[in-house]
Amino acid sequence: MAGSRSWTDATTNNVVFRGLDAPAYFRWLSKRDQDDSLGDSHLLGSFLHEFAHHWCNRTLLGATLALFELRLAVFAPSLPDGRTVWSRDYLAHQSIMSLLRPVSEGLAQMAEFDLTHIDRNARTGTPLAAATLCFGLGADDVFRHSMLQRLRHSDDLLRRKASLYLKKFDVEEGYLPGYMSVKNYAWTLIGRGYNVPIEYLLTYIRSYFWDDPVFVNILVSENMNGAEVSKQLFDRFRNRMHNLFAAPDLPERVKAFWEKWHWDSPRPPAFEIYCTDDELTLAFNRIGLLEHHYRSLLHDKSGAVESAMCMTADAVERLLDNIDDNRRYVTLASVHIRVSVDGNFSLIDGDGQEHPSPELSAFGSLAPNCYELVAVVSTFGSFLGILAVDQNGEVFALTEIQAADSDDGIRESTIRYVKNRRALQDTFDKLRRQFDDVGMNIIRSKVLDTISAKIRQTAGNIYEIAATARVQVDRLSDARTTLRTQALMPLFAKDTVAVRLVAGISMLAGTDQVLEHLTMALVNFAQFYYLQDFEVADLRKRLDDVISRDRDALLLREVDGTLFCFL
Amino acid sequence: MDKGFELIISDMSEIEALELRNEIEKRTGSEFPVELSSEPLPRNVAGDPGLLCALLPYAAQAIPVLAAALAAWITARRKEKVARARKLVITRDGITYVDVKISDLEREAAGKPLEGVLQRILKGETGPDPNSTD
Repeated sequence: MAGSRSWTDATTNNVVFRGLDAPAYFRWLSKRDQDDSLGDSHLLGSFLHEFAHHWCNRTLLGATLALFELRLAVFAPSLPDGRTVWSRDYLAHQSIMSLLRPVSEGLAQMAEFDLTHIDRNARTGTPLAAATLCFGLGADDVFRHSMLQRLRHSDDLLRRKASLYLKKFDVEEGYLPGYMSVKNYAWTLIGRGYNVPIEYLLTYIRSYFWDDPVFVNILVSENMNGAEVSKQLFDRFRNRMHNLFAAPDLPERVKAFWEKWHWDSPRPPAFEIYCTDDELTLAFNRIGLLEHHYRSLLHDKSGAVESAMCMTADAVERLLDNIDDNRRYVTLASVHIRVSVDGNFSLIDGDGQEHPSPELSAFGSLAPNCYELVAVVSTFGSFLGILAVDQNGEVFALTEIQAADSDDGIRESTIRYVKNRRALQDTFDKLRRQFDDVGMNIIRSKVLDTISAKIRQTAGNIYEIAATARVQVDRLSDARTTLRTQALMPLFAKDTVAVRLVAGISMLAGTDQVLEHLTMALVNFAQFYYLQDFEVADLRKRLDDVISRDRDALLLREVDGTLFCFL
Repeated sequence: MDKGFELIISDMSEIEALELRNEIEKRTGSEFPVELSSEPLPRNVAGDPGLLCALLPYAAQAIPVLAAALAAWITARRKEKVARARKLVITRDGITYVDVKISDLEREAAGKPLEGVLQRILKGETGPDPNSTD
């Protein structure tokens, strides 16, 4: 699956990172107390991106959607008589996934490109805290600041940011519409006098959408009309989006949310996300009912399920528990090792060659055998565990590094996760293929196809509105048409140096606060870090050209030598 | 009718693809078709934007210009030390004629020597250069 891309599965919540040098990571981890270098920053951008997805999935709505997909995958092929229900569930699931995909990508890219450290110490629960645990030397602001600076000054991240500016405005992939929308949430707060720290904003937006009990209460309801349920979800999403731009007390609610929110509490502060405790209670009850219905239907119709799934009903039921474990952890790195009879550790490379690696013994002692060594981080970055799995699947907890303000550590669920994670993903991939081959044929209809197409179109319209939220009313129609047809391309007129320059400036403006958004300081620093082959005067000219083309300030606006980089 | 070759470059970012396109258009003075595609993510899976694959169909007469543009583009990338196994593949009618790592080409001297190697590659030729004095 997706060989060159890092990815996160919305249902199993598995994350696969591409590009980490896992042996080097374990070597660094084994002696980071004696080392003063940071971990492999090559993966940091990708880590923050995927971890933000994983973090959003570990929510009230994320859990509901996982159960929805599991129900569909199991029951649609097994119980074709229920096609009305499965069609309704499919449309509801598709609707919410289409609506949330761009916000999810927006948050993930904001984590990559815009996160800054804010407090003196890292606060457990956010992607930044998890990154600090996995790649930093300590939780204090010195290490976090140098870790983020190194990331933002890297050519690799510059390429990723510059490439974002050249993407289509496409809600199905979601990168540009999502990033523009989420950045506009930040700017609407700044416009109301609250220079919101990005870590607060990400945490708030995650709960605002993914812990919204009303989405759950619409998804899990007695209304069996898929089109109506889809419309209710769209109306709710549209209202939530509008509220972020219009609610006068949003700054106060964001601040209060950050004070009250705690990663270890399953219930988010309701009032702060414009919900009620009653709505939350109802949502928890309905998820409980949905799970109960899943289990009882499995028992009542076990023969049909076993015949269609080629699995025992018990194995199908265990999937739910395995998914629950699986959604709590991320495997950051894994290597194969061998421990010899005299206790020496060796790494085994892809060709089966062994390389002596005595430093790995620092994680703990193991009996002579071959193992997979894994580094596992919990969703809220409360601990990083090192575990080993032998060839029989037995898991050994070796050591754990705890976050500074947490006493969490390796639990039974961690052991089960490490043991089951690969088999679970394989099983789920198989279930998805089966759903596509069998389940979709059962639920497919012309009406379903028509509504599915409308879902994409309506989601596109909502994101055009959010992405152009700062544009003057008389320019809106033109700005939206340009975005839809050419995205941001006309602003750069194919000048790739200008694309890199603006990308560099945007990252420096966020990270190096000392530059205070002074245009010439930003151009000078962008030249120093990213564009040394170009003269500052040339870069300034290219920047001016972009500003002059950007009539709607989608990207930039300069006022009296101060540059506002909106994206 | 003689079908032309297709040049495929893997693992490119959008910015790099636009830089290559600019290099070609600077030399041809007209738009050059470049088809970009990315590895799709399965349903219900979110992921990072990933990298692109660029597909450029070309006729034999475009080879000198394309070689010069590619040489300039590869030389510029060399400084960035892109740690990826980016490949350059030449196909015709679905048959692969050349499949080389761009990191191998980065070792060629910039300018005419690299252009010469690329011209041979774009003609679908492999093996040692018959004009080489090595």
